[in-house]
Order: sequence, then structure tokens, then C-alpha cells
Amino acid sequence: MMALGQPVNTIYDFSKADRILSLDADFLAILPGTLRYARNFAARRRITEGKHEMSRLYVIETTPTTTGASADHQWSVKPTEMENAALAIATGLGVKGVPSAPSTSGLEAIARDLQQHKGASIVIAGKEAPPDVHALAHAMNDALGNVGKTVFYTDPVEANSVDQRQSLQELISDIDGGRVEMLVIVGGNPVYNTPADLKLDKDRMFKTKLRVHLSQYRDETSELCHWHIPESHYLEAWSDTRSYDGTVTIVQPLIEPLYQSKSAHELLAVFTPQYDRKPYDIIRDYWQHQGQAAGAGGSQQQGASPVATPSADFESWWRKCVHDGFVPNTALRTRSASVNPGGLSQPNAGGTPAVPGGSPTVREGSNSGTFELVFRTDPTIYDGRFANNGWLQELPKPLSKLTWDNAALVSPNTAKQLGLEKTIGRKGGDIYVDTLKITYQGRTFTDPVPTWITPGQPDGVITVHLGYGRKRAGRVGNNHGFNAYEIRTSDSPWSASGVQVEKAGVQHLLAVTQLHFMLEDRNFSKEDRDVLRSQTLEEYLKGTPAGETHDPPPDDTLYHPELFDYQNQGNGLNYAWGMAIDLNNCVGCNACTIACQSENNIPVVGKEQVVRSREMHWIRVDTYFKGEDANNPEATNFMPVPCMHCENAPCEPVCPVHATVHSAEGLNDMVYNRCVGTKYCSNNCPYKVRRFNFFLYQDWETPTYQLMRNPEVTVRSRGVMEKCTYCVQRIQGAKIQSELEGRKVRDGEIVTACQAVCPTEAIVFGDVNDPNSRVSRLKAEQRNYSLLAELNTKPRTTYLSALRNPNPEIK
Amino acid sequence: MPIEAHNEGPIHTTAPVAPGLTFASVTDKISSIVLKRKTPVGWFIGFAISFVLFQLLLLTITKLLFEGIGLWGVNIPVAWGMDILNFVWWIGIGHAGTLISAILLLLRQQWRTSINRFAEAMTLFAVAQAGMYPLMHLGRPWLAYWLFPYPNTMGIWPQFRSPLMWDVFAVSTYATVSAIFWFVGLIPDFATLRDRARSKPFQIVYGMLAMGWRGSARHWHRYEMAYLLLAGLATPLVLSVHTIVSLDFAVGIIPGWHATIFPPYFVAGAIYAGFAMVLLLTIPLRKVYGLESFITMRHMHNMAKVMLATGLIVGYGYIIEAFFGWYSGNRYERYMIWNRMHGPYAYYYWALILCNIITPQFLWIKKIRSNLLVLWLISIVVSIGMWLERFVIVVTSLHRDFLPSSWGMYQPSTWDWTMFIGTIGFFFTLLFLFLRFLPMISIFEMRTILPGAEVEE
Amino acid sequence: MAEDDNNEPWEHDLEDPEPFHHEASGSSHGRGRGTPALYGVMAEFDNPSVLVAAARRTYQEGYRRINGYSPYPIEELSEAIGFKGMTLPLIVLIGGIVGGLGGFFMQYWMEVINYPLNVGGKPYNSWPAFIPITFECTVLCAAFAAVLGMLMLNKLPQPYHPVFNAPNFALATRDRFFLVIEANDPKFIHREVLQFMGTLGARDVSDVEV
Repeated sequence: MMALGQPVNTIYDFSKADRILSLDADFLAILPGTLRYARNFAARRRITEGKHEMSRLYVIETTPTTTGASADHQWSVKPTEMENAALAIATGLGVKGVPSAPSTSGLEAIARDLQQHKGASIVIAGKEAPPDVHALAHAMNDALGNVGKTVFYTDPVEANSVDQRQSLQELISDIDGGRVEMLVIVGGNPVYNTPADLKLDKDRMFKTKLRVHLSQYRDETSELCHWHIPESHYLEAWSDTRSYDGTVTIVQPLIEPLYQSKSAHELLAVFTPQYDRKPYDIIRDYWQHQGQAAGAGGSQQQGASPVATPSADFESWWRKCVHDGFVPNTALRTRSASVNPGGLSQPNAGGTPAVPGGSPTVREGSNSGTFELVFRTDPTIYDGRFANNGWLQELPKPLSKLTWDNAALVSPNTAKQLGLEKTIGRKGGDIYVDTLKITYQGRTFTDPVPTWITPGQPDGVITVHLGYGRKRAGRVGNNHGFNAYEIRTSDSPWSASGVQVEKAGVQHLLAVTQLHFMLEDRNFSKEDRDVLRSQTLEEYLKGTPAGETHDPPPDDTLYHPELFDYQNQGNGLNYAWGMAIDLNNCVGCNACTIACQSENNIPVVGKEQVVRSREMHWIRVDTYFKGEDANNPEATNFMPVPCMHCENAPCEPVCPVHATVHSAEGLNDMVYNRCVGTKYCSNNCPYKVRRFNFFLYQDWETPTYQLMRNPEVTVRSRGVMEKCTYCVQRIQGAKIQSELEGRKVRDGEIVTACQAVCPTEAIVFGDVNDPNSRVSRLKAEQRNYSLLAELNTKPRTTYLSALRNPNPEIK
Repeated sequence: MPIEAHNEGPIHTTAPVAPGLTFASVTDKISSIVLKRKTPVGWFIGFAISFVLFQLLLLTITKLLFEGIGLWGVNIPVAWGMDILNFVWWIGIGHAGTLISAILLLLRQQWRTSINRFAEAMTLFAVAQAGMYPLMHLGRPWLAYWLFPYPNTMGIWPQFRSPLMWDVFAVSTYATVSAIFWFVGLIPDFATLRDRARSKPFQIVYGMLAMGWRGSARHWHRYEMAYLLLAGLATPLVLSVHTIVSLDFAVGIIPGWHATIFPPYFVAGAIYAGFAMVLLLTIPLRKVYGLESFITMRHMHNMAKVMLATGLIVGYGYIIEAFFGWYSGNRYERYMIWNRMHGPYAYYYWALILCNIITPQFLWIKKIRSNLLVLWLISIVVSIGMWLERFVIVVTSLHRDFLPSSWGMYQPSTWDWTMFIGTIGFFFTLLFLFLRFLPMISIFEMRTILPGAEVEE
Repeated sequence: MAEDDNNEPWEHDLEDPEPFHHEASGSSHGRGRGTPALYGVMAEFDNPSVLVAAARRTYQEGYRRINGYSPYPIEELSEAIGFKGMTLPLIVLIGGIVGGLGGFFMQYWMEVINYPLNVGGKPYNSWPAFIPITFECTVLCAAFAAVLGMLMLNKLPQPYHPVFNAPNFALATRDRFFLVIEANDPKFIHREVLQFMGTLGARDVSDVEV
């Protein structure tokens, strides 16, 4: 707004962007529209079928993110330095009227690179970035001529766009002034997550006479209200909503409400004359009127395109919208907005940005003893609303692999400065860490603040994630982590400076799923294991192999080479299932892990079991830092690892009871009801993809879990081994359907759960006997390789090595 | 004529038994331990302690059956921990008994005679402990019978390529053959006890066990033949059993397991551990029961020498493993050896080298071999060392293999220890019962090595 | 009596029990008109050498239904009584072969014929992998054959046997050695046997009842 003078919504088209500069924008993980952005971004970086150009991503951020991991160049800077970095680039782009800031060769190179891609570049500022940085980003896009090509402005998506901080302030002062008699809170959890300086705490709540809270959980806010109305889940209620670009979707319930809950519509209807109107009618009527109003050039600021007006057609139009899931042509119309950079204030005295030629500098720690703080929503439980979601609590955070806790991220140098240590325990997933005492504007955290030494974190900056420290989250969400909202203020919700930090006496136990993030033990060797291959685009185009070639020659066997001829199974259909995972596209979001958990009835084991290395995820995303120095990685890569379904599976011959055998179509079948639990198969799997039910992890009691579970997948009991099955239930379903229809299964008809949910289409599954299938074409790429090929396991899941497109002028 | 046949006696006499013994005195001495009516107090104390420890085993097994093997410290990647390493430790200990019974018989080493009954009993009790682990370490132990090839409604059979199946057959065969070998060896002694027993119930029990044995020459002939054949069968059997146990690991592909040296290295290690256990038990036993004239210093020296010899083979195994880990040039193998020496379990590795390579070198010195206390302490150290060896093999190989992302750690839990201590308790419970109710030295075989036993033509 | 002058000191008369001669004692069946059922005549010795020499002489005399008893095996004794006994090794060999072939073909039939499954890309007939179990089955069956064969050939368990009636026979499991000539030996004439056995250097000679 600062730059443009009015509230707008900015959306981006990454499918047309060749150069992207992200100023603290985690656009691959957070932000509305992130799925579309990830999809399009990945499309611009996919080098298959002879393509030889890919986009280039620069990321300047205040804390490492998965977007930064996907960058070709990434720098970590302090929040107070971010604006200077943006200013330097803006100056380099010729943006007029901005204060000057010292530049470096790296920043200049970025500016030059962007200049060469006018109209095909994007400068994006993260939602956490301060207004000045946003303004600069808009100005830069303007200067680059991106507006209307890759950057678009629309009216705000919210129906009533207000300054939320100001609105909250008004409410608080109204409450303080005793002017609020009845307070109706529709959704949300303001007692928990209002900022510390505008806290809706117990005293303020008690100042109002009647309090009503509609929410899904009886949470911190409900505790202080007279009435807690259980809220219907969005899958149980009629509603409508807008996506990131304004497209309307009608929310249709899948089931009747499980409990006696009410939706927001039902609650608000109570305040209207038609107090018992059904949500279905409310929605329907609204859209019927929308069509009529739009025809009359309506007052709606959304600028939605006309809806079919005649009421006779409304019924069929309505049915189509409900069926399709979206209302066509409701995307907000793009509009122009002029950028006025003069609105920018003087830059902060934050010092020069730490962006020299390329790699992040090692700065001496904050000499005044104060630190800067960065607030971020948590990668898995967001702002705390998912704290009671066991799946998300147990999902490891992409860069730390931490579960069931949040931690204060500190850089290795800061850790040394503060004398912080991290000790790996002996149980497998247990890390003992020192805790901190953090004070900001006189406020501090009540729960212990564990630390996490994060390579790539800027020195002198501590990142804390919101959403933890809850006391009324539900069965599994209570008393995990510390509550970052306790010191977060409304004037600077995403960063803070002048923070006092010192080591606290107590240690904390954290549960992590990965202990080692380098591709080799650096005490042993500086060379990486050939596990995750990555090269530059230039090297790839020259034909340089990305790793050592290990594939043994095909006749390197004592057995007859045609022992099991997967090409000719003799049953006519000859399916041979396989999977290709493009490491170049994986952005480390970990959605595949959750999708698999959902599809295959995978249990949640809890923090104590994760401490014992017994998490049950069938597909995990390994995070590796490249480079020699663990404290200063050159790059971060992600590698999803499901079962490889090896043709020469080492797990199969060691099972004494035939519980794991090979199907004619190439699947390594796990027969749960035959497994007696010797665990030899897990020992012999070099990829360690097998998971064991050490206890009865499944909850037989809770009735709603019976509804939650996928009926097509066995629910495993205690003592059996389980692992990725290539979603065999989906394969069988498709085969059955195809047999009924008298045809072969089509390519793309079987989509594994991980493939379905992957935003960047990094995972592809299909028939490798069909040379035209997507998976076969991917496997034919030069970048394709088998993990641990030298073991001659002949895995059906192969990888395509990652590529980076660095700017030759930098470093 | 008879020279002092006590601790400091000559150790190079040809007779493997002290002079001055007769058929009658040998019979009476050994059978009186069993047949005396009054049980010594010391036995009660020992038995009571063992029995209490045995209860820990029963408690652990019950808890495991009801709750699951998550009670132990195993996880992914270290899915085998104290359960399997204790299994190998116990089986290894058992092998000394068979070696003494069978192999030394074939090699005509008379000095085996006074210790073979006891050693073979030790084998059986050790194998009984070992056998509990493959059963209880299963996720679903109530289905353990699926590892046996029986016709069933599922129409399916076990998978014979798996070393665990080989284990089933090997350990079952070993337990069975050891048991029948031991029992057959007892038949003439049961007859002796039957003819000596003072109370009617014991007469009947020993009588039934003796099956009517009367010492007939024809019977003896067939008996000796059967005994010799059993010894001839038991010899390759004992080699095969620990070979197959070692193949549990060697067939695996992870560095640290996938090594061809395992079969001979494990067999030597088993004999090494077994002799340590035999020494550990017989040194106090001969003192308490006054059997110094039967189990002489010559026995002590011979057993110590066997321990030294097998310890050298085991030491060679460690050195070769380290050498080839490096020489192979394979980075995973190199890292495996480096990690054992410098990684988080380095203390275990170096303790192992101290216990198993350095300590037995003291046995070169005759004075040390003659000092029974030191010898006893060395055998304890060796027993611990062999436990550490299995720990290093199982845990350090599993905890860090190919992909660094799956590297983990392992720590035994309380229940791992209660199970182990419980098996020790069970072992000693059985041992005490054996000492009380059965002749711990083979009476009839002792008669054969007395000087008066030779037939002068 | 006149004939007595020629009798050796240990010759005895049925009517005159003397210390060296023990009646077949025990049950009342033996008294009366008929002679008690006699199993044989037993001589008791002190040491193995005398026993073996006595056995040899007995065999040379032509007695065949003879047996020796000792507290431990004496190789020369079984030779002396003319017993070779080579049946057992054959039984063991057959047991071993049956075990081995059975073990291998069990695996073969199960993994190749009855329910072949693709296990890690290994051939159905993974004969190298079948070897350990084959070996174990060989040993197991051979061991059973040895033990069961030995017991069966020895006709054990046999709780009762007439020799237990011999006096001092309990010492056969301690330090005495015995030799018996059975009554059903073709050459058995009680008086002659008694006389002959008296010449063998035994501590004692006695009748043994059935």
C-alpha cells in the first residue's frame, strides 16, 4: 500500500519468469497461491526432453527456508539489513527517487541479470518483510516492466480489506474503555495469538459482559468465554471462499456434521432476521444475487465477471459450479497500479548487507549483545491452529527435521558466542540442547526455549516459530514448545531488534528424525557420498556426469540374466511399475509424507517414540547440506525416499517366512499377515525405508478414526513391518477398472498419493514397460540414476539429479 | 609313588588325572555329591539367587508378550540390538562344551574326560538361553511356528534362503543333538546312581533314566560306536552352527556384516568364549566340591592354551577386518572401520581390543596360567570382551550404513538388561539343579582313564 | 566220598552249599523237584585283564552265548567274546542319507514345485542356499539314527534282566567285572560250566536265576 497508495493483492505468474528475486519471500511454502507458484516455478526449471534453459532464483532472506534451498544463490541477512539490500538492487535497476545504499558486486550482478530479463522476471517480497521492502519490490517490478506480464495487481481478495492491526487496536481500546458488552469471536484463537502489546488476555476478556466463541476446539479462547460453540469443519458445511487470485470456489460438505456443530454461517444468521436460514440457502442465494447484481454493474469491488443471469439457467450453472469446484471467471481482474517510490522512508541504520561476492560472510556477532528476532509461522503447524493435529506435529520440519517442538534457530557462530551446545543422545532421535532466555521489550517466554543450531542462519539473528506453547490445544497439542506470541508485538510482528538473549541453565530434549545432514562424516572425509547428485546447468549441458557411474554391467551375475524377465511376464498386460523422482523439482515441502500417511493409515507415534527413532513415515524427505563445512553449507538439497522396489531386493531373501516377496509387475510386496517380525528385512535394506510397529501404534478406540482411515488399506497391528507399496491399492483399483472396460491402464491413470500431492510434479509413477509413459521418458534422461546402484539392487524408483543455474558473474 | 596331586602338581604327567584314584573311589566321590541326602547350604544360597534372577526373565517375557518389543531399545535403523547379540553370545558359549565332548574325543585327548559332562551340560543350558531370543525378539512371537515347514491352510512354506531359517534348523539340530549326546553319555552313570541310591524315589527315577543299563559288553560296543559316531557328527555340526549364526550377518549387505571371514572368525570366537565360560565355572567349582584331583592343573593349562589359541585367531579376525576395510578402497567399508574406531561407540571398540586381543596375551606366561585367580579374572574379561565383540558387530554396523540420513543410535533399555540378567539367572538355576541331581563328571569315562583300566595282555 | 578226593576245592555239590557256590536264590519256584529256571552262570572278577583273559578262554572253549559286564567299555572284551556288531554304522549312514536327501528335496519341492515365489530375484532352485539346511537335516537324522539305533539294537529300555539277580551285580557299575555263560548256550552243561568257570581266576562264581 505504501508504494501503490491503495490496498492491492499481488499475484505472480512464475511460468513466465526467467529470473526471480525473492526478498524474504518463502513463496514455495507459505503465501496464498504457493501451490500454483511452486508448480509454475518447477515447470520453468524442469530440464527434460531436450530443454536447455532454466530459470534462476536469487533469494535474500532473514532465515533459511525451503525456498532458499531451491535457490541458485541464497544469502542470509539480518532483518535490519534486508532493506539496504533491496535498495542497492533497486538503485542498480534504475528505480528513481530511492535513498542510496551501499552495494556489493553480488547485488550489482543480480541487478544486471534482472535487467537482462525485463518483462520476464519477478521481484517478490515476503509477507513478513517490512513495508519498505514491499514498496521497493513493487518499484523494481515496475522498473523491470514485469507488471502485466509476470506480476499482476488485483483488488484485495478479502471482502472487506481493512488494516487489521488498526482494527484490533480499536477493539482493544473499546474493551479497555468498557464499551464492549458482547463479544462474538467467529473462529480463530485470539486469546492465544493476539500480539503481546494488544493481548486479548483474561483481564480484558472479563471486561466484556458476554463472550461467545465459535471454534473447532475448546481452546484458550473458549476457556475464557461463556459460550463455546463447536464449529463445523469445512468438510461438513456449505461455504464459499476465494483462492489466491480471487477465483471463487463453493465449499461443499462431504458428510453430515459428526457432532452437534454449527458453521459460521449458522451462527451469524442468528444475528439477522432470518435466524434459522440454512447455510446452503445462504450461499446459494448469495450467488444467485451476485449474478443479478453483476448484471446491473454491481457495487461489488471484486470486479467479478458476470455470472449467468437468467434464473432459469441458474440451477444448471449452480450445479456445474458445485460439481467443478470453482466458479468460472471469478478471478479478480487485474488492474493497474502506479508505483510511487517517494513514499519510502530513509533506510534503517541497519548496516551494510552481508552480501559480498556470493557466499554469506561470517560476521562478528552483534557487539552490543542484542540480537534480532525473526518470527515465522511454523512449517508444519502454521500459526498454531494445527497444534492438535498429530500428523502435522510429527511431520519433521524440512530444514531441521524437528518434530513435536519448536526451537529458537541460531547460527553456528551465535551458538559459539552464547556457549550453546547440542548433544546427540543415544536412543536415536534424541537431541539435548541448551535453552535460552529471550527478553524483548520487557517480555519473555514462560516455557523453556530450546535452541537449534541452523547452518545458514544469519549471525546475531534468532528465528522463532509461532504456534507452539499451547495449553488448550487438545489431546496431543498441549505443552509442546514455547509460545512465540508472548513477546510478539503488533508494530513489528515479523521481526524485532534490540532483543536480549542469554543462555538459560536448563537443557531440553528434542525429537528429530534425521541426525546427520551432510553426505559424509566430515571427520572422516571431505568427499561426499554419491547419494544426492547435483550439478550446474552448464555442466549438465556439456554432458559431464553428475556422479560416478556405478551401475554394474547387466551380465554381472552368477544367475541367468533372464531369470525373471519383467519385460515379458507372459500374462499379456506386461505392466512393470516404476517411479522417477526429479530432485531438481523437489522443494522439500514434505507434503508427500503427509499424503502417504493419510492414504495408507500410517499411525502417529508421539514424541517419545520419535526420540527412539521409531517414526512410521513410509516416505521421508531427506535434507542434505552440501559443501565441506557443516556450519556453512554451499547448498541445501532434498531427497524424497520411498521404497525403491528393487528388482534384486535385499530385503526379500532374508525373510524367513515369505512375508516380503516380489510381484510379477515389479512391486516388492509386503504381506502384513504373514510377517512375524524378525526385522531382518529392515537390517538388509540399504535405504532404510522399512518401518516396524514396535508397539500397537494404531488407536483402535477413537471412533472417528474408523471414518478417517482408508478402507482400501490394511491397518497394521503390533509386530509387523510395513513400507511404501507404490499405493498398490490404487494400482489394483485402476487395473480392475481397466479390465472392466477391456483396455490397458493408461499412463497417468494411476497416481500414487505422494505423486498426487506433490506441487512441483517431482514424483512420477507409471509403467516402465511402456516406452512412451512419462516415467519411462524420465528414466531415459541423462540425469537419471539409481540410488546406491553399486549394490546391484536394481531399484525401480530412480532419481534425476538436481540442477542449479548459478550466475557466472557471482563468485 | 603318588606325587602330590594338588594345585602345584606336575602338569606333564601322562595321566590326565591325579594318581591314587581307583574305580571305587572315583565312583564314590562323584556319586556322593549327588546322592547325599543333605543339600549343602551353599547350594541353597546359590540356587536361590539364581532363581530370583530367573524371575526377571519371566517378568520380561510376560511384559514383552503383552506390550511389544518396543520395550527394548531397538529402532530403525538398529532393529537388532541386545536381543540378537545376546543370542550369539549364549550360542557361542555353548560351543565349547561340544568341542570338549566331541572334538577332543575324536582327537583322543584324555584330559577332556573330567570336564566334558559339565561342559556339555553348560552347552545345553547356554543353548536354552540362546533359544529364547530368536523367539522373543519377534514382533509376533506367538507365530514363531510359521518358521517350521508344516502343511497349513495358507498353503505356504517358510523361505529357506533366509539365514534365519538356517538358524532354525541349525540351532534345533544343535540343541537336539547336544541333548541326546549328553543324555546318552549319562545312561551308564544313571545306572551307577541307580545302584547307589539310598532312597526309593531316587532309585526309581535314576532307574528309569538308566533304561535298564547293565554294562553288557555287547551294549558297550554299540554304545561306544554310537558315541563315536555322535562325536563325529557333532564336530561338523558345531562348526556349522556357528557358521550359520555368523551367516545371519554375513549374508546381510551392510558394511561390517558382509564379510567372508565371519564363519571361521565366529567359530573361533565361540570356542574362545566357551572356554572362558568353562574356566569361569570350573575354577570355583573344583574348589567347592573338592574335585581338584579330577580337574587338575593340567586341565587348567590346556584350557588356557585353547583360549589363547582361539583368542589369537579372533585377534587375527579383527586385524584382517580392519585391514580389508581399508584395503578394499570401498568408502562404505572404510568408513565402517573408521567409525568403529572413532565414532560414538569407539569406547566399546577399544574396550573390545583390550579385552580380546591384549588380555589373552598374558596366557603365554606359565606363571599366569598357573595362578587360578588371575586365570579366572582373565576368563571374565574374555567373556565381557566377547559380548562387546557382538555389540560392536551388530550395533555399529547397523547404526551407520549407506545413507547418512538414516544414521541413528542405539541404547539398550532397562528391559534389555532384565532379559539378559534373567537368562543368566536361568542358566545358573539350571546349572545348580544339574550339580545337585546329576553327576557333574562322567563317572564311567573317568574309569577308562585310570591306570588300572588298561588291559594287560 | 571217594570221588571227592579228586574234586578241586571249589567244586561243589548241589546238596552242600559252600561259600564259593551260591544257589540260585530267591523265589520259591526254584525249589522242589525241578531245577529253578536258570539264566546262566556268572563269574565275578576284580580287574579287567583277568576278565578279558577269561573271556578269551571261554570263547576258545566253544561257548558262544556269553557276555561280559563292566563299569566302563573295554574294547578287548567285545572282541574276546566274539562280537563284531557293524550294524549300527550302517543304520547311521542310511539315516544320514535319508536326512540329507529329504532335507534338500523338501526345500526343492517347496520352493520350486509347490509354491515358487520371486524372492529378491533369486532362482527358484537356490541350491547353494539350500545347503545349510540339507547339512543340518543330514546330521539330525544321522544322530537320531545313531541313538535310536543303538537303543533298539541294545533292546533298551529293558527294566528287568536276569543278570540283575546275580549277587554283587550292583558293583558292575562300580569296580567289579563279570562274565556270564548263558544256560541256553548249546554247550551248556551246568556242572561243566561251573567247573570251567572255577578255573578262570574269579572272585566268585554263581548261578543266575531268570
